[in-house]
Amino acid sequence: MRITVDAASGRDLPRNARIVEKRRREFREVVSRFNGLACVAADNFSLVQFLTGVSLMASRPPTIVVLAATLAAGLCRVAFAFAQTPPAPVPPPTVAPAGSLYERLGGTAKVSAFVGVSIERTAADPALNRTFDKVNLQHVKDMLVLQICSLTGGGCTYTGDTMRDVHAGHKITNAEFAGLVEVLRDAMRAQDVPLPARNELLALLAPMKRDIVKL
Amino acid sequence: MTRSGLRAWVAASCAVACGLAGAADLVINVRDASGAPVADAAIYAEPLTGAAPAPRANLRAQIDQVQKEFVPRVSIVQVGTSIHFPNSDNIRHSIYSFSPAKTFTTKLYSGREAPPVVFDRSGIVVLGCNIHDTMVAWLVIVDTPWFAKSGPDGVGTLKNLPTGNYRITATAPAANLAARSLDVAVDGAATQRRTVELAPGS
Repeated sequence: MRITVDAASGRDLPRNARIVEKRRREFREVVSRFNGLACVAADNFSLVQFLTGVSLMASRPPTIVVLAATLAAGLCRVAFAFAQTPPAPVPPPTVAPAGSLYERLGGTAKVSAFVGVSIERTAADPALNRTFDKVNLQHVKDMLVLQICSLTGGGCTYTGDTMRDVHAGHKITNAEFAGLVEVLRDAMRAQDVPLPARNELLALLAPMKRDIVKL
Repeated sequence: MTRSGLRAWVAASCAVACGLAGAADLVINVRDASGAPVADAAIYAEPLTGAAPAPRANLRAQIDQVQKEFVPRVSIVQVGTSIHFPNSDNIRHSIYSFSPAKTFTTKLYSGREAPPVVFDRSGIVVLGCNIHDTMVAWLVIVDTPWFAKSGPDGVGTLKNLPTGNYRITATAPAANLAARSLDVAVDGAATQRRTVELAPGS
């Protein structure tokens, strides 16, 4: 069961739908206060709507929403305790969110292309491939696309390991790190990614150096 | 001490020291269809009458990660064994199994000890690593304390089998050879030798 809401303005929607959207926001806030970010999902809201009825939710004071959200947050936590599974990865979108850096990078098509070329070239370069021996390159590419998508507003959820866990023990040198950055820069240029977008992405990735080099 | 007295003393000592009267070793020679020795074959004996003794508590074994390979590549353990993954590589590995006998994933990180995995059902488990495609290991979990792994000469020895009838099975999952069984009667302490020929298959 889904309702369509104009999240940007809410102005052109009927009054009832605007209230629903307001309640939806309050709901998300309460759930996130209870559960961190793990359980925030519109689906929970749909469930509560299903249980209580949209019209009821729209006409009741916020306390009802808070109660419903608290209940849902509790249910969510119980479900997590039983399932013991990490949050499902949100895959790269077919259409990049408008205005995001992900969109300006060229969306999933271009990001996958320059990530793919970068990893292939790094793994083939004797000066850079020391730690890529026997590595599942497709996995690296998928995780890097997911991470870039998640960092640049593409709407993905990165489910991979932390950069520190990924690189610890490899003793990556400054030269190896710089080499991969250069390869990535070239690959983005080859894909005609505009300069500002290239620089913004590199600026987002740069602070990761401390979790990659000399560990 | 008279000669017969000495003999009686030796026999009595052995009955105590050897633990079981009438236990014998069974030497199994595993060959492929061309007669070449099959290394890393899992060999085990299951009693045809009665159940195998219950496993001892705290059975432990380890499968290490060295230069992005599993060491050993083939292991044979008894049901209930905890397997440790010491990760001598000290880089990240992500070990998994989709095998029905035990489905699991466990992540190994640099400088962190991973909890052991207990294998509580018999069967063959194939281990892989999500990060390093080429890593593969086989774990044969058997419901008996009598098992061995063949060496490079294709020979493995089942030690101290008490008197009785056994089904002996050899399987070589890493060599993609089908399992094969034969029945052997163990009577007394004399070492017996058998050859098992494995045909292609899985």
